[in-house]
Amino acid sequence: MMNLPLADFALLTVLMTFIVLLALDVLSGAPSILFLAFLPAIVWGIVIALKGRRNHA
Amino acid sequence: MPDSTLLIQLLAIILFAVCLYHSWNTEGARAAQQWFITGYIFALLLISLLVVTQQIAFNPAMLFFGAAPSLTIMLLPAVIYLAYTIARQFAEPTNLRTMTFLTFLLTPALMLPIDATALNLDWWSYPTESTSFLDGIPFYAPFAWGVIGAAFFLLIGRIRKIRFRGNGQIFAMIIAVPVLAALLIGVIAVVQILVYGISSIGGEAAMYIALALIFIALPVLFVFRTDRRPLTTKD
Repeated sequence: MMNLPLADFALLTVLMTFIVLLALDVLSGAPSILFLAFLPAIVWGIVIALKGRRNHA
Repeated sequence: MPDSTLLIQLLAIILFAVCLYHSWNTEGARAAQQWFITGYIFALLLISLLVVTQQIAFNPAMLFFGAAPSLTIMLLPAVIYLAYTIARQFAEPTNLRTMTFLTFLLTPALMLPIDATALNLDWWSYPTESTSFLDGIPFYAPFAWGVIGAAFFLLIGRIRKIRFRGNGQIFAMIIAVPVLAALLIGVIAVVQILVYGISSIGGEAAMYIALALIFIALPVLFVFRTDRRPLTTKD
């Protein structure tokens, strides 16, 4: 069963931080290859969705 | 490009404050003080050493204390705390082995976008001759961040298992932190040599395979990990 703790503090904080970073990168006209840096975070998002089970944080 | 160093310093303070507040509310005042006081001292010492050894160079427009940018370094304990908090979704905080492994994997995944943006906006750079990816991030950097995150968690986690009286734990952590920072400089040097060795033998392709291992393969394998041993088992 999917377990996506959307209200989780850490995920929300990371998400907000990355949105700020993404916005800065887009506004500064960063090369498109730079956006690959966000790929590991997406992988972890999938891992948490599939495996995260101790949502007490 | 306009100077955006104010933004990263502001972001570091906000992240530090938010994480401190969360830790204070969920783990209690003692744990929050342990993590963030020790974390700030750790970051100050480690980043100072890394700047002095010319492994990292910060934009001089930032506010500095000695060699280290006094506000930007707040990112380090905050990011490791976020990695630790995410790792707690998978394992008990007292399960040091699993938690250290997860912190090792999570810290570089969180640091990579910050590093990439920092290089793009000239917040900091890596003045090293090592081969790099994503426009200037040395291949060893993700491994080094992983080792730094895992080592800091292990220090805190291990000392929290010792039953000291009163504030004994935080005093022990403050005493241990300079030793850890100095030790990590040596470990980072070894990581650099290993990465340099791998890239010499296997070329850049080998380095991309190594990156894919910590960023994709190991997290994905973790999903399929069979629970032979309960994650709640204490080491």
